[in-house]
Amino acid sequence: MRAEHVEIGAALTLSEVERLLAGRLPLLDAVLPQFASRLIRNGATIGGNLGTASPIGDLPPALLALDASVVLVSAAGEREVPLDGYFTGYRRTVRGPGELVRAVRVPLPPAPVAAFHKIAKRRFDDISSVAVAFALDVADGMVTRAAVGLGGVAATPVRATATEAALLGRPWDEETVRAGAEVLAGEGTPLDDHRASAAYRRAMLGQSLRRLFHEAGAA
Amino acid sequence: MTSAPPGRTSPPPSTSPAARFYTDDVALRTPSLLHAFPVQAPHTHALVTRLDPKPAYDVPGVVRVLTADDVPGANDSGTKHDEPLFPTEVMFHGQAVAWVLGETLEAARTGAVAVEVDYEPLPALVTVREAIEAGSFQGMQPRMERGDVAAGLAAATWVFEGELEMAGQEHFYLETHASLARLDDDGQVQVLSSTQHPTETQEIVAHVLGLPSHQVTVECVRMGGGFGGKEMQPHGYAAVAALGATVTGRPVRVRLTRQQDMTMSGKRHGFHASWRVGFDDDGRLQALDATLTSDGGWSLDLSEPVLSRALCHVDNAYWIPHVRLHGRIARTHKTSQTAFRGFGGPQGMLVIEDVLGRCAPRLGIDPTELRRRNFYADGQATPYGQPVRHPERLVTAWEQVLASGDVAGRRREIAAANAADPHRKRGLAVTPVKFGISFNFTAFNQAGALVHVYKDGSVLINHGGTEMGQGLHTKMLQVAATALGLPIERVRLAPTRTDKVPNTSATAASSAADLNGAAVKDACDQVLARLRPVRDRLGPDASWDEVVSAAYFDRVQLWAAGFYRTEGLSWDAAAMRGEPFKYFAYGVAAAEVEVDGFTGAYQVRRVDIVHDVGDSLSPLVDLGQVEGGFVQGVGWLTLEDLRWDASDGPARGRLATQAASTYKLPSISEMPADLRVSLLERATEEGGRLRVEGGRRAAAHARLLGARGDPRRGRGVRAGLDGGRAAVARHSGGRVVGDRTGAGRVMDWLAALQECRRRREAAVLVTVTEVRGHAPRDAGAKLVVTAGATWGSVGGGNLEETAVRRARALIGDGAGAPVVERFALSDRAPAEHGVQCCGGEVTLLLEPVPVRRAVAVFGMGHVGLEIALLLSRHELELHLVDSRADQLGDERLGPVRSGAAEVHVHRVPVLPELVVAELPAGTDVLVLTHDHAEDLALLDALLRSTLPGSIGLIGSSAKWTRFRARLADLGHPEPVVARVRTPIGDPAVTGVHGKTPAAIALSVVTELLARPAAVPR
Repeated sequence: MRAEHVEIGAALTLSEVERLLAGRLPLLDAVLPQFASRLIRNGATIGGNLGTASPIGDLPPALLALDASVVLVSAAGEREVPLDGYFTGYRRTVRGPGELVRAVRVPLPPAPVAAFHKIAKRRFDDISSVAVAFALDVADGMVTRAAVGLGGVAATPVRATATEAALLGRPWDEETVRAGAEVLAGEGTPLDDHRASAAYRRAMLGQSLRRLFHEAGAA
Repeated sequence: MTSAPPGRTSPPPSTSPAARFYTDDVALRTPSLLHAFPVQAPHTHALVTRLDPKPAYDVPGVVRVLTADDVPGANDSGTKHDEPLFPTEVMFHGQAVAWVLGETLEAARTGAVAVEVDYEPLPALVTVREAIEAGSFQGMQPRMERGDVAAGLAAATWVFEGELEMAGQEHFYLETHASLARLDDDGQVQVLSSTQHPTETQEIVAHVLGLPSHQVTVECVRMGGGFGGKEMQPHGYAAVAALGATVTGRPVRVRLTRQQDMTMSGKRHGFHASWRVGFDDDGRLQALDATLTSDGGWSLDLSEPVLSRALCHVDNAYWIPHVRLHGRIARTHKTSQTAFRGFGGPQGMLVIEDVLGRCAPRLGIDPTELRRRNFYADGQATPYGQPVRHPERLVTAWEQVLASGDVAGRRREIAAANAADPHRKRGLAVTPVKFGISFNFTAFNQAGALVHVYKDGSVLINHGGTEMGQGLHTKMLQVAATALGLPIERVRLAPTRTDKVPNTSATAASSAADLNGAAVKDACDQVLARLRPVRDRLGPDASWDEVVSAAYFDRVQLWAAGFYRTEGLSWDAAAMRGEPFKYFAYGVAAAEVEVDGFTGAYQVRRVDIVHDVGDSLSPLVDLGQVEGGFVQGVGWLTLEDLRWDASDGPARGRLATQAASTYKLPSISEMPADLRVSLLERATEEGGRLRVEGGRRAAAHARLLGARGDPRRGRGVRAGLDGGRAAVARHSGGRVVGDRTGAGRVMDWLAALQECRRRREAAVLVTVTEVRGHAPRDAGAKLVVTAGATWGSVGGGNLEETAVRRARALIGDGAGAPVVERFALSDRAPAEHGVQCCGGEVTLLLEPVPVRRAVAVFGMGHVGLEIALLLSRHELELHLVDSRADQLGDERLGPVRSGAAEVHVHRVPVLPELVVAELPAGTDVLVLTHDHAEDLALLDALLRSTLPGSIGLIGSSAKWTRFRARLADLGHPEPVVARVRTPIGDPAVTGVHGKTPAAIALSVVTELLARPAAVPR
């Protein structure tokens, strides 16, 4: 833990991460209770979740919104890769042969408006159909920082860059949210499958911003 | 089965660790075991053009590939002879075309991959609709008919029609299908099978092997869940294991993986239903014409009896005079759909619940009220001709749920919560269930049992039912222990085997405890009868062990075979008529759900269930069954999703959700946060007990009435209360006390009348005005009569019964004028309720005390105030509502309060429509707020409510045209919108002209008072 970032060891279990962070990253506190079940969180690691690189993993959208980077290590040495550039395709990453995930770094301080919306069939212990993570900063009624991570809308977890642009520098009000929600609903390329239809996934993207505004309220 | 077993609320007796073995636990401890693995076809419909097992024999550890050539008997695993065990035509994706036996499971699996099969794909039908369009049906197409549906629909005020499709459901028992077969020393086939129907498994195994039944023994130690999925489905797997054991001489195990089980075994039938229904003016069902098509899958299996039960439950709890039901079984290229908890009953009930749920808003009647209004009454019969006995039990359960679940109070809370939160909406539904107990197939309603008493006094019982976690064995131990008068530890239960009790029925149809319990009891009674002379000789102090020992030395037979058949059942499957059920079990559930407006996700907040399980043998077991059944139903209808690939792609017909990762079962998060299940009390299935308990029932009903405090709902319990009253009258010498405020308190006539006025219930005050000769009470005695209760007495007996009848006739007629009646009390006088021979003559005055008219004025502007002033001069209940506090100031309302009317002022700064739920039933409502948006919100709320007696709206025809469009947008059909009267106070009608507020008010009030007040329902 340093002033400029938190470094989370890749082999820590999710339950340990939850305990050790002790509320320092509210967005992760929002994710972890929705991540599988306590039994699994006691065994699953943050490195494993990034290593498997599933497009519907629960942590990547949140870590993307937190601007996290991945520390990769190999016999040749260590390198730090922004998470945004880590995923390269369906379950593929920049991690080379012989490279391991050593840690995840999250810059501090985190954005104050944080939320994680996991849309799944079952409330607990289920895989997400769509997941949206928000990390926003609002000062004097204006959006001064906007990071949005998405899961379940593409072959990899992605940043909703168009949505971020639609929010940044705008007043945090209904008008911005309405326009932003429309942009957000167009992010990614959601598919039809037995978990949800593409139309529902798109609708849920837009709804998530509306819900954030409703729950976080106007600043 | 009415005796109360000892320790009925104690936990089930402990069992030894060895007794917790399941079929596969035994298999894995069997030496020289072979493992079987299926070769599953990757086509939904195809011909097998070549099957070459040879490559599999190159796989190390492969011992044998089983094909049709190995079958010595019939290549068929179904009782309908339409299920080839080794098919030449693949009928569903994943069907096994051959089985490989290996030294290890891995060897068998690798061998199965190596088997070479060529297929010629054929077109497949995947959905019910496709099958209907293609005319692909199988088995019977029954018709059930009563009355004249065409005439019923023609005479109905409202006719609606609709279509409904419901999905199937995977059983998802924890233990997948499992069988172990081996040959004993004599070459007999011994099969251990996870089966709900050991006798049928035995028959199919014998049939495949070409053996008589006595060469095959099937045993079921216990199942890790069945839910109907192991009623007919286990037979083929048992036959594969038995065939393998016969061919190799070694024990063979079949144990499906979850994915195999989900892709190969049958499921709950999905159904398609189309219906036309007719209602009268009051929302009473007049006629129903429906066609139900079940998705039977590739073979007939249990589809016919499932369909029969579905048709027998379309009526659910409701009387429908004219009914025509048509049933069909679609043949599709899917797993062979089969029994599943409820056996078609839930699917049938869902049809009528869908009808009522969808028609209620169109009729403008609250769905709960619509359901209640259509309940069966005593003396009515089902569409198939079975009298519905004890319909009052359903009413009791209904009232119990409404009261204990505080449904009225929570409705108000829900309305407030919904109004306060734009993004989360709650709803509460109350739903009844009537379920017929017994197998529709009459022959299955028999059972056998063995009871052995050993010389040391210990007892071993054996019966034909199987244990799948539902607690049947616990109940059977309780039955035997109770019958024999022994502690439960003295009785042991041996696993179900076809060589112990032959020709058993499936453990199904919610009847295993009834049938097998009666057989166990019969055997116990036989033993006891033989022991009686020994006990008589030894005297009452002799212990059970001493009696048993002495009986043995007397050469008394200490074991017995018990038998039971359910009497009085009849079923004509061709005509779909008869009395197929021993009795009906009733239940009621009130479920509150919250829906998230952002995502559509829902959460079950609270559920109250009251279920009639008869006189429970084991209440804890039964409560667990009700809870489990409820959660399984929640899973079926809200979460679980059998997704068959219906596209034209290469995977067409494949089950897409074939694992727990995609087929979502309800978990702890889907359980209601608050689940309250209770069993209906006093539900003994025996006539005698009911009569004795009549008094207590009446008291309980009276308590329920008092607890509810809602006179509109009083009608529901009347039948039960009257039934109870007759019983009380016999016991208490004719004194009837209908205390509606709580047990034990008796109100005098004045308090009773005030209470009736408060509750807005019509009453008649009966007074003895003159007495000549001997009479039970003097002049001045008073009795208050309402439609559902009485207070006080004018002398009881025949006189009082007759007075109550006359009084209720006056209430029924809505009479306003008093009536004088003279009664002669002699044994010669004509009497309606027996004779009373005091010898006198009594004169009674019957004074109707009708309900006061209630009027609500929304909007206290100039016109509203003038209307209130005029109405306040009349004896009525006046509700004044406004969202602007200054309009309801004391100064402004002072003159209104000085009149004869009882004035209620509602100050509601926001959402005046919430007041609608608080108005008395039958209220005449006038809408004239300052704001058109408020007017519209009010009309929306008023039209959704059944409370208003009339709804009047002030305003122009342009305003009304706009409102009509908006109300239609809000989902109100034309006939419902027509409840609104507008304009009101039309000068052309009333003859009062002028545009001043006072003139308009005069015209409005003139018109209103010219109409009779609505009689609250």
